[in-house]
Amino acid sequence: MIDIGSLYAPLLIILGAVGQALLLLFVSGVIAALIGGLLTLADIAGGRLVLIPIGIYSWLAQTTPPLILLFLAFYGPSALGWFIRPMTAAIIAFAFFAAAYYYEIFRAAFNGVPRDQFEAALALGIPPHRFALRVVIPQMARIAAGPFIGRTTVLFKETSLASAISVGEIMNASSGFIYSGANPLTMIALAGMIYATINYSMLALESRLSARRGAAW
Amino acid sequence: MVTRAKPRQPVAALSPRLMVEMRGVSLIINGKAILNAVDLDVWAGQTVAIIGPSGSGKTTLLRTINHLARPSAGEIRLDGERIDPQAARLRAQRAGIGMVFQNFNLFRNMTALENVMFAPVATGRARVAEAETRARKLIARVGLSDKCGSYPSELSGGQQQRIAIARALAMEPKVMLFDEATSALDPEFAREVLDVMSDLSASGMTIVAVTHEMGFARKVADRIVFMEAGSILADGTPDDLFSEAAPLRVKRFLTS
Ligand SMILES: Nc1ncnc2c1ncn2[C@@H]1O[C@H](COP(=O)(O)OP(=O)(O)OP(=O)(O)O)[C@@H](O)[C@H]1O
Ligand SMILES: [Mg+2]
Repeated sequence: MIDIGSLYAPLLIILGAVGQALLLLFVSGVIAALIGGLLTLADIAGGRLVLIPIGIYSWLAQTTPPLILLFLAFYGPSALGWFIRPMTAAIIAFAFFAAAYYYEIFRAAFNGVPRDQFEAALALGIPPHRFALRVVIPQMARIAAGPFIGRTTVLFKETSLASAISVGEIMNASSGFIYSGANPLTMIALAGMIYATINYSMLALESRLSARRGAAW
Repeated sequence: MVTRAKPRQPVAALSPRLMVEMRGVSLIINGKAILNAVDLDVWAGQTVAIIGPSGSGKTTLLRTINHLARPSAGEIRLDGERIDPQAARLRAQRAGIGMVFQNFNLFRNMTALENVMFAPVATGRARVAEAETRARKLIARVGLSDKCGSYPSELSGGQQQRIAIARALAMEPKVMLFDEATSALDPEFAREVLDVMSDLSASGMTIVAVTHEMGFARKVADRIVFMEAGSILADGTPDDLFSEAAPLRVKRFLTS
């Protein structure tokens, strides 16, 4: 039924597409995590005034469908006479979108760090940045790890939307095969398996890491 | 009647040194005076127990000493030096005031040893190796040498509190403040902590301890301060306050 020799070229295309998808996930994920971290810092250290713009941003990013953000990032600059590569537009859209979720995760993690320790640090005269680096951030990381990875797997699934602005990622490649006559069910199943495998790896890695830290703290 | 106690065991017998000096310290929140022009002198080497009914301002008094609660009025001196609300100075002064909390407040992601080493290293007072040597000695002093590598969640309440005491001592404080250090503990564990506090007192440490342990107040403290409604109502030796001549309000509190 399947001719092995004829699979070679498609395989290269699929590998390339997986690469594109992972690149999109990684770059937008890292940028989003950085922005999410900065927003968390502004939220914690800043006054009430910064909470309003952060709240509006977070609300917008979480309520707007990612596809709309994607179109906005791609067609918006073009409408102003600015050419933007599809991949760049997708990275901007997903970073904007995911940063809000990461911010909420980090903020909740901060709230989960037992407050009595802050008082002890004050009483001991420990400089705030030392306390943040050595106590608060490690405990936040521990709390945030599960939700962070969970949210990242959702982000990865959402990157499939980038095919709509013709980023050559997994869905884009599979629809290409389908248009050129491949069995649609086979192609969709294949794409699904790739997403599932990569997401499963992320989740497995997270549970492996958290298991290794043990229950001691 | 307010009895003023003379230091019973001044460290330098000729010129007793004032370690903590509170002058007219008030704290007003929403128009309510939580502390009402409190004056308190604690001499070097003294152990002062603060007792009084719930809500009388004992915790607040303790927390104004290191400005965890900022007084609305009045002045506090530590070893002659005025506590300065300016951030960097305040941090350095706080480092010289050990504080032990009811709920231990240990850093959860650090082992017992790391908890004790952290502040001296983070404040630049000691290098890592030096801090570790000192931390091990202090942990031995509170009887927990075998627990250096344990996390707080792996220790009993009494063990956590003893590590918290070692952590405060690692900063070589001029005075140790205890806020109900044993209230969260079962009696057997409270005993271990009280023993450590008694040893500290006997070694000449200056101590201010808010406590419900009347046995400790009576046997270990040089002085007992009785608070009510944000004021100091009585201040004297244990013999004074446990005597028939004590103010009626104190007697009623002690027999209730
Ligand atoms: N930050 C605050 N805001 C408002 N009221 C406060 C604050 N801190 C303390 N109080 C009030 O001040 C009073 C004294 O509180 P404090 O905790 O000092 O009492 P306490 O003597 O330590 O009592 P307890 O024995 O129950 O620990 C209480 O009525 C309390 O409700
Ligand atoms: Mg209290």
